[in-house]
Amino acid sequence: MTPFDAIRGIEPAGMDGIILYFSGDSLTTRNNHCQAWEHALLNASFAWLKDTLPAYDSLLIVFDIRQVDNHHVYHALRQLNVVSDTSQVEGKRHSLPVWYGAPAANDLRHIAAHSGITTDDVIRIHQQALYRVFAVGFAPGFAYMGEVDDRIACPRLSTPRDKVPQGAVAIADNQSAVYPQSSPGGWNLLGLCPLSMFDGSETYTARLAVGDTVTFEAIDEATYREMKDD
Amino acid sequence: MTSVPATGIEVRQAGFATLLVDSGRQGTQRFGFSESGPMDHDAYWWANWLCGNTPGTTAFEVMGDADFVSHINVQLSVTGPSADVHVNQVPQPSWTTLSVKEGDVISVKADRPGQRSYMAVAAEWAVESVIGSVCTVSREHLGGLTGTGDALQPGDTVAMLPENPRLIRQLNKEFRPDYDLTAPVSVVAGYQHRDFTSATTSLFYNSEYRVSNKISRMGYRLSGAAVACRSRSLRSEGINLGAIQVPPDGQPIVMMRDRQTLGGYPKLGCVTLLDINRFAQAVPGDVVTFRQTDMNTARSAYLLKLEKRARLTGGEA
Repeated sequence: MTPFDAIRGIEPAGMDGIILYFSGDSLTTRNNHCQAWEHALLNASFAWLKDTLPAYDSLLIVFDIRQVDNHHVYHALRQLNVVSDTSQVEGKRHSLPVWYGAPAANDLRHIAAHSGITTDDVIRIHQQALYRVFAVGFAPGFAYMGEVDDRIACPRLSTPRDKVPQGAVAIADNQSAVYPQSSPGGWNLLGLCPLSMFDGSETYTARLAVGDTVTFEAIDEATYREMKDD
Repeated sequence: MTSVPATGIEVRQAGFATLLVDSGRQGTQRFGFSESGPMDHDAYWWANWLCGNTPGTTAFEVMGDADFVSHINVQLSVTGPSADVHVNQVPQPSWTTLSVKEGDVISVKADRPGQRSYMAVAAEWAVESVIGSVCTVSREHLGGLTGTGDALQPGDTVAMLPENPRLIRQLNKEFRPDYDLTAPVSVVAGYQHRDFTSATTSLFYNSEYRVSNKISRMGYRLSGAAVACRSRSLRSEGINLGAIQVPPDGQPIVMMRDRQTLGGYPKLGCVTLLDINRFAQAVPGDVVTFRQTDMNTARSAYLLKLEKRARLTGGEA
């Protein structure tokens, strides 16, 4: 399947899925393409479309193989009228408090050693950036934010942990996130955020949405305990 | 449903895990909700068919030794690769419609510990869906009897309204799903498959992998020949069912029904829908091998399987 337009690559993703990778000078541009293509696909209301999974610069399309094959999906994509929205939707601004180095979520020394800087530098640099939410996924309310400063970018753990605590603030390469629930995970942990990322009982909605911007702000243990959402 | 029935089937002993399942959450992975669904969709599908239920009807997924007490007169069926069912301690056939009376105790277990069995009931289930499904995802605190992601507990009663008795159905051995793990598990190459050298790819397809004890509804970690990937850092992207992801330690993880929606480990392809149910019934210590196929071949084989099923069942597939 030959790429076209803003699509730089198409790969199979199982017998009932294909994944599109988008081109663009910046991650923001690629992310905009991804959202525009997903939007166009959903608007077309294809009966064979089962799921769309947009991420930073990729879009997984899952289709009903009883109805169509991958060639049909490719053909439908070629016919699709995609309006790439260059005017980026301005989302909400959030400031998220973090108890850096909380014992339950502390890989600061590992990150510092990997980056050749001190743990204080890691904490300072993580707070300096203004992050944009590029995708929501992994778990309900899990927002993928970028971009993390190259000076503290650190690859995922070689073996994922069985359990990362709820509220853990984490980085993996140039991405940052807050774990909305306790779950397995392979990211490097910086500390704990006391705020709930996802309302799992009434509205099933997330605090952070695609397009929102986020800053992190250090708090101490006492403030964390005061602010902790139940 | 006009009113919630007062009674139904009570869980007396939940075993390792007894969960409510249906066909899972569709169209909401874009918000981060796990697809979920029965680990062995074949056995689940047949259990419902044996009860004359519409595909997608709620059923129990049982792991370990579970006991149920029926507070209703109802038909039910139990399926699974090594399903063992007793009613009031008297052995009963699996893969067939059974009739139980109020007060009967139904015991369900798998002869191979770790395998999952399915119990369907010919009834209208009164369980509220959360995000379009009753599927229990404990990690997301979602679904199940109370909607909060808890597995069923002893004393829980699942309310349901029995349907009028239907014809007894059974599925003979030769038509049941094949769970033999000596046949390789088919994989459609995809995702970052180009980032693995041909030597690595051939190592993967020519090696035996042992199912480790780190397996869950999210994913099965395998152990065997380490698979090295040239690209280490990757932006998180959508993970389809059966995706084989390779963390830097080279030990593959096959992503299952309750997998996270996005992830960033390189993936060499996906186990096909044909083989994912058979693979899901592997238990720690089992040995599996993989073989490569392509999307078209896999689809043809899958459609053929559905056709065969439709012929057996007189239309439903």
